[in-house]
Amino acid sequence: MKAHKVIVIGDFGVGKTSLIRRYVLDVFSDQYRATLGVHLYKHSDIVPIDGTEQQVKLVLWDIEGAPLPGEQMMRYSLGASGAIVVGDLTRPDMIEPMRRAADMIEARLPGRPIGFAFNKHDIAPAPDDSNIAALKDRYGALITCTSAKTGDAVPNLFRDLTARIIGGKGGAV
Amino acid sequence: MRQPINPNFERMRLEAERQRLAELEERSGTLREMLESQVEAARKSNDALKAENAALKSALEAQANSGGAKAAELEARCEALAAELSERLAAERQHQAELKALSASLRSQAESERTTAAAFEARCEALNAELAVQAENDAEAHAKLESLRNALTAEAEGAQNKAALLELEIKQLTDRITEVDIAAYEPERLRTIITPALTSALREAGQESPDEMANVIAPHILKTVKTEILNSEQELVEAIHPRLGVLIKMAVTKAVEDLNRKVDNALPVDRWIAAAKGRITGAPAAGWLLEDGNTFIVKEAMLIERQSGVLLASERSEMDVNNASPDEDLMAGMIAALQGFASEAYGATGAGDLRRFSFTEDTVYLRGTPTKLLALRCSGVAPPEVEARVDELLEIAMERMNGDGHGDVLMIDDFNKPDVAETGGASGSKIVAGVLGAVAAVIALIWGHSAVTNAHESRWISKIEQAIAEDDQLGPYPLSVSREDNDSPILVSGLVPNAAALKALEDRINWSASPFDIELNIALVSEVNR
Repeated sequence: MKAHKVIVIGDFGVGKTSLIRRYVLDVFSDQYRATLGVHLYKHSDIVPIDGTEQQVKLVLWDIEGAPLPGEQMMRYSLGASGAIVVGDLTRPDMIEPMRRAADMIEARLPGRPIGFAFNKHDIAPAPDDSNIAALKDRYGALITCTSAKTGDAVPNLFRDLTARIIGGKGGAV
Repeated sequence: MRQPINPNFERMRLEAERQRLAELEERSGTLREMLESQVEAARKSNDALKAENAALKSALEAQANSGGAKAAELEARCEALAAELSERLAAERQHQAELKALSASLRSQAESERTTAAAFEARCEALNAELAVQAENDAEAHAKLESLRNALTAEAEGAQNKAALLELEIKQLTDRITEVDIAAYEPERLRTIITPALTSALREAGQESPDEMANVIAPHILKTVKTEILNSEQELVEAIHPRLGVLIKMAVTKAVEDLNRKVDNALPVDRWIAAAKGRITGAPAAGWLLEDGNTFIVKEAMLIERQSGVLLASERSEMDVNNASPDEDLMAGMIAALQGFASEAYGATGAGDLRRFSFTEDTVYLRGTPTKLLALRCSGVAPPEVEARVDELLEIAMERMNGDGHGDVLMIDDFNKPDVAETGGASGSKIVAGVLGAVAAVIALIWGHSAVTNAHESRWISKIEQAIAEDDQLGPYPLSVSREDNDSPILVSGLVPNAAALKALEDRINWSASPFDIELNIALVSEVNR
């Protein structure tokens, strides 16, 4: 079974590692440890694709946080089948860094599905509908409010993105 | 006698008669008039009746004419009523039949209820009889309970007395504790009190149950020593530095001695093989003799998509298939990330590509094309031609990938064979040279045997190490497994807590299945204590 590479990118401390650890290991720690370089996680899951459940294998690349996508992030993103852009709902200016990261993915990985994860939904409300609609229109992306702490919507985010990767729907909704 | 006639009277009577007659005549005339008027009225009435009669007659005739239609309507209505009545009658009959059936069913139900009631009655009688017997038994139980209660009451009184005694004892103990507590604040006094007691208790315990003492304190001592070594690394180095030089000198001397002994003790056939290998490869024969103990094996080959790090194909050596290995998908990602980092840092011309790095005890050889990476995870001492062989395997893998893209693209067990150079067809191996072909085949056979023997040895050493690791009580104790040379047994040496742990370890080792001699050189902590 071929493994699919999924990159997880976003600013420092938005919860990229926490989201992956919640999905892969079903654990959460509130101790912040910055990721240096890249961490790799492997996870097998069963995902409903076109009405049938399929066994899939994902290699998740947890790339170190940066406010702007740099050379390192671009290098690590090569060959990815899909990407998750993570933002922190508690930060007022979270949308712009997410847009830039998504622009980088569109430029380097055209046609790959993108998922926007608005994290820390357990302590902050969802973004405005206008922002969500704008992101959907612009990138045709999955948009999910997640909480790595409670696990809310985390598996669905990864499964929906995987379904898009395998279903071949690309970035279009 | 007849009374004489009175003429006056007679006259008077006649007069009255005459008057009366006149009245009658007058009255008769009135009546006549009345009659006449009545007759006239009757005649008028008769005429009126006649006219009325004629009118009625004509009305009746008219009515008789319209009577026919009404009669037909009435007849139809009568027929409809008759039909309705007949339907109602039929329904009524059916209803009656149903009522009869219902009545029959109710009757049978009543019969069954009656039977059930009779059965219940019988059951009630039986239960009554049982209750009567139980009541008798209850009376006995009650009596028993009564006697039990009396016994318990007596016991409770005894317990109360005991509690009073215990309270007294507690009071005395509390006083003692208070004294000890006071003493605890005076360390000198406390030491004076407890030192003799502790010394005596430890001595007794050491004499009476040395094994138990060893079990209890040995793990703590070992843990403490390990922690102290870690915490005082610098001091330790300084402290042992003078001694370390001597130890290193001794170790080097021993290694040289081992080397000499190994060369001296090698079987004639081993020497002959080493000499042949030396002749063929140009490497010293002694080097081949030593290398046999650490044969080069390609444990795993991975073909990786360069950019994404996705594993395209992988293969593990049959010689390594029983050992634990790192997750190949994660390793593929890591290798791609490392290679990407190196290329990024030193340029994408290929000059910056990693060609080899160490991973745990293994060495990973890397070769890349612009789109693919070949990674070989190897162990053992690498022969001089390994780099060329890696290039050849990448070439073979690429050729196979460019073909149908299916099936085995790597074939590392072919690679592990000494004649892989021929398969690649690119390297100038000396093995294929003319007359030496037959000799090389024999060497390859013996070499292969040697490799298999070494693989067996590694597997058995791993099995024994696993048996040690699976035993929880051996966790903190220093134990090692090794084999000095091909003629030596596998040696298990170190320290275990007691004889029982040693026995458990012996039981875990499957002696009879081992193709090698296994020797235990293990000390017991309990023995060491003595």
